[in-house]
This record gives sequence, structure tokens and C-alpha cells, in this order.
Amino acid sequence: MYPFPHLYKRLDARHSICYVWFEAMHTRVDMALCHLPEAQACGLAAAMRDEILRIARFADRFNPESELSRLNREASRHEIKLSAELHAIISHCMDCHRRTAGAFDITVQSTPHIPHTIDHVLCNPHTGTIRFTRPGVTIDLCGYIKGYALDQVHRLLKQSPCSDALISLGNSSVLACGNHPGGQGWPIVLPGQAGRSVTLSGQCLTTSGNTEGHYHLIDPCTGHATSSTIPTSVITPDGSTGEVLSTALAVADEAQRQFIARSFQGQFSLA
Amino acid sequence: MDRRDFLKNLGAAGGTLLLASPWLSAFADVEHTRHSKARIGVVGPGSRGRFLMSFLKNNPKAEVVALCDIYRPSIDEALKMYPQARVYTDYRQLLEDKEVDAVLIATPLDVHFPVAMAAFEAGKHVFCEKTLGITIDECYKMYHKHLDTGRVFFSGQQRLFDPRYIKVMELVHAGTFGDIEGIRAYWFRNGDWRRPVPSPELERLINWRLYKEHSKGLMTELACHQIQVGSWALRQIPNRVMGHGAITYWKDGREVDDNVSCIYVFDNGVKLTYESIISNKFYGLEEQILGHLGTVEPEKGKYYFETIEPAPGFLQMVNDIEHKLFDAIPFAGTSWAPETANENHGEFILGKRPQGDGTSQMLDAFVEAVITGKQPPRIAEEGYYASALCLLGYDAIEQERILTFPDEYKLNYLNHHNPTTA
Repeated sequence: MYPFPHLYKRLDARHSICYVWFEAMHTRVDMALCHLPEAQACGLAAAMRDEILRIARFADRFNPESELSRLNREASRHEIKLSAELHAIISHCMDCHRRTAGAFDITVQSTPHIPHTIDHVLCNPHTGTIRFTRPGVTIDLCGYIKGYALDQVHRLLKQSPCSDALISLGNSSVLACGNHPGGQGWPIVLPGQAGRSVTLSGQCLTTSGNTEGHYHLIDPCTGHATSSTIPTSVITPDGSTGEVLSTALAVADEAQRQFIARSFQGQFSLA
Repeated sequence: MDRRDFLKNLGAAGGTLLLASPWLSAFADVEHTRHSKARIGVVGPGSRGRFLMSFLKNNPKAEVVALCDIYRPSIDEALKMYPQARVYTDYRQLLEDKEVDAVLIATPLDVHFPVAMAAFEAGKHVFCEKTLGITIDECYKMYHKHLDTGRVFFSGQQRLFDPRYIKVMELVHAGTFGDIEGIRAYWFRNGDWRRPVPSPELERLINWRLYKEHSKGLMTELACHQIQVGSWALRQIPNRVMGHGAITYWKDGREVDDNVSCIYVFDNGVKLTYESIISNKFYGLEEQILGHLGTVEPEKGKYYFETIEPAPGFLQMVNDIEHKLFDAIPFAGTSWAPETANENHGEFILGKRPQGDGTSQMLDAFVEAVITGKQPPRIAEEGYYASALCLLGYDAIEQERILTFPDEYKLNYLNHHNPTTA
């Protein structure tokens, strides 16, 4: 028995599809793994689920036991030594803040959030520590961590015999590898674009935007939730970049958009 | 309803998957039978009989040409629907009518057997309301008479033709809800189950459901529909049954229990529990199919997953891939909101509230089968076991013993084998 439901369909002697779904990271995860025996497909899905749960354990700010929660609680009082992985994630996010002209900001949930709150996060690459220079700073990785998890899952996938797979975290972070059993790549209907679709292979599709009645996107420049429900979708080689760019472009003004286009030139396309 | 409409009712995705459904094969020749007519004689046009006739009336391929009843008011009511029908008071005379292709039997239960057997002998196709016979032996003989004569044999198990149930079984058999670990079936009503009787000597004729010589009460009149759902879902016949029944509320001279409960045990240990009480209607009727991943309530037309449901886009993709379709995969939106999983209101099986109960489709299928003379697969066998199992439950209640399905009454069907007929 596996800790998730699954559907396994054998298409012929060599071809099959295994669909697995479960909850993790406060969202739903859906995986379609092709052309593996059932036990192998479920075993791979279980390993990927374990990886997602492992990341959620340290990077979930809503879990008081997580490493990120401890950082948010204590870093304004003293320097916190972090795991290499979380330190690298936060460092990368801070770098992306610069590369998006401030449109991507992991401190928007701080109390209060004022422009340049992120400058109160001191990240020391030599000691692997972080310190907040004022109280109330909160690091929130919700707009990043699904993409990061997708990248780690992708790494596991590459190590496995499965080359054709489609993996979605919360519908908004999608990884497509190889081909759909019926043709080249994976055709995906773009959210909110009247049925328009793209075909992905070895790529991620990441979408950011508010849903009606659920306005969670915050403009770092104002500290207020944005009201637009038009989704922004980007196609990238990896999930982390996709999260950064879709989040940033969803709130960016024209100047920031142009800056992002230059800064990430060749690394994404708008879907 | 033609085959296209039937599939349309199942929804586009379901329609693709259900092309192979045995229940649909009755409609296979629907185009060729366009100008044909099934001439039907109704034996027992009482309230149930006329209800069935109301569906035949809507089918241009069906015509009720003869009526038979010993109770004149029923005939008079039925003639309002089919004024040209010939009237008989003896079913044997109706069976001699060469203009009758098929009989629809909606008499009290104890009369089903003699009418059906004589009808088969007379070369008529037979639609018999459930339960088929008043004993398992009668049901068994009816089934074999159908085989011996080669005539079409339907029983009134309308759920077999209900698009909602067909879709449910497709999902259940695909493993969507995981391993089926139990079935909880119940039918609760609050009423005395009596019909008005114009004169005391007609009490047993009109309220035949309340007397053991004519009926086995709740087990044959209600349970018969629902126990079949269990064996359909599990694709197994349960081999053991225990139960208890009593008259606990309606102590008005009736002989059949108003409060029954049975446990049917399948070979793998999974159980179907059945309960019927007619002095409380709060829970209504349902057949809850309990899988380790999810639950189905086909009467409500809903399914529920234990944790989160599969994503519709992925589910559709898997179904499309299985049927060699290459189509774009829709995602639900920008981001799945976790709070939507907190309250499990379930999803409608066919995407909307249930409509109808399969009776129309069942009678349309019977009409098609009468015209073509072709017996659709599994219909007679499912009808037989639905009847035999409710009667076995009744016997368990009466005898207060755990009963095993008798070998001599097994068919070669699903997990059953009858060495004498193999």
C-alpha cells in the first residue's frame, strides 16, 4: 500500500500511465508517470512525495516546528545558523529580488511591510547565517518553494528510468518531461487564456495570479494585495525561475518588466 | 431515448468509455429497428404496471396491445392509456393472442412464476417485475426456461440501465475509489405501505405486499434493487447471509416485517449490510459503496474522496490516453486553494443532480430486445441473482440462521459455478 491514491492504466505491453495524487505543501500534487511497471511508478512517486514533504518540513512558515519558522521567530534577536539548503534558497531569493528590480520579494508578509524591508535581512554566505536587523521581518517562501520542490523532484526523475512524466504542484507549477503517450511533448491548456494551449517538454509552466475572492498576491512596492485576477504564466527550464518570474511579473510595473526581461533574457518566455 | 441520447446523458468522457458496456448492447441495432414495433401484453396493469406503461407510451417502437387483470379498476385505468388494447381476465388467454410478442408482468409476486413460465412456453418474450419469483427455486426455473426457449428475459432492475449507476460502476471497476471494502445499503420510509381498499375482501388482493403468501415484504419489494448494486460493484456474488426481521411498529395485522436487517458476506470477507425500516424516513435510500480511496452514493448521484479528489484535468488525460486520444490537459486555475478540501461535499457523478432512475432506458432496451429477439448479455443473470439474493436474505431472517448460497441454484456467472450445468 502507498500513502496516496493512484490509478494505473496499462496501454499495451510496453506502455502505461500511472496517475498519483496527494496533498503536500498546503496544496495538491498530481503526477502522471509513464511506461513504468506499477510498483516502480508508485515507488518513484513515493520517493518524490518524500522529497516534497522534506522540503515542506523546513521551508513552511506556517509550521512552528520548521527551520524557517525558527528563523522568523529568532533572527531579529540573534544570528541564526541555517542548514546549507535553506541558506542557499534564501540567498537565491534575495538575488532574484535584485534581478527583478524588487518585484520578487520574500519579505512581503513582514509586519509592517515597507519598501526595502528585505534590506533588513543580512545573509552571510561565509558563516551560513542570517540575521534580521529589525523586528517583524518575516520570510515567506510560498511564492518560490513549489518551484524549488519541482526542481528537486525533477532531479529524482532524471535519476529514474522514467523519462515521460507530467507533474503539477497546486496546478500553478507544472513540470513536463519527455512526451505524452500519444504524441510529442505535453499539451497544456493555459489557465485563463480561453483554451489556448502550449506544448511543453523538459520545461516548467508556472502561473501566478489571484483567484476570485482569494487575493494573495502582494505588491512589494505598496505592501497591499493586488486585485487583478488575470494570471501570468511563464515557461522556464526550471521551476524555481518560473516561480520567481511569474510572481514578479504578476505585480511588476512597466519599468520592472523591462528590467526583468533584460535580467532574465533567454531564460523564459511568457505563455 | 436512442443510443446517442443515452450516451449523451453519460457525458462525453463516459460515453467513450462505455461503448463496451453490456447494458448498452441492447441498443446495438437501434437504427435497423426504426420502423419495427414490439407488441406487448401487460399482465397486472396496477399502479406499477401503469407506471411502466407510461414509459412504453413514449416509445414509438412499443405498443401495448393487450391487458390482463382480475381487478377491473386497474383495467379501466390502463385503457385510458391504450384504449385499443384487448382485455383479458385470464393470462392464459392473453398468451394465446398471436398479436402479442412479449408480456410485461407486474402482478403480485406470487403470480410472476406461473405467468412467466407459461409466457416462455407460449413463445413470448418476458419482462418480469422484480422479484422474479417467490422462492429461489422459482427464479432458477424461470431463468432456465428463458435459456431453453431462447426468449428475451428482463427483470425490473432499472438501475442496470441508469446512466448514473453505469458511470458509477465504470469508475468503481476502474479502481477510482480503490478497493471496495464494504457496501451499506438501506431504504427507509415512514408509512404503512398500504393502499386504500374499497372493500374488505379485497385487502389481500390490493395490499398483497403485506402478506407472506403473496410477497416477502421489504426484502423482495425493496432490497432486491439494492443488493444487486453490491454484487455489481464487487463483480462477485456474496455466498453467505445472516439477518433479522421483526414487526416493530406497524402492528396492524400484516404478516411481513416492517424492520429488517441483513449482512451479506462476499468470499473476500467484504460485507454488504442491508437495512430497511418503514417507520423513519430520515436517511431515505442509498447504496453506499465504500472504497479505501473514496465513497460513492449513487442515489444521491455523488462521490467523495477520502483525502483529495483526483484532478479533473489529470483524470481526463488518463482516460484520453487509455483511449488513444491526444488532447490538451486543462488545469483548474492559477493555484489550488487548500481550503476547498476542508469540506467534502462530494461531486456529482454525471456533473449534475440525478434525473430519472433508469426505468425509461430499461424499457427502451426491452423493446429493442423484443424486436431483435436478442438477449443482451448479463441482464437475465443479474436479474436472477438480485432475486435469489434477496430471497436468501429473507430465508435467513425467517430461519434466524446463517445461510450459504445453495450450490444447486448457482449459475455459471462471476464467482459462481454450477457443476451440473458447466
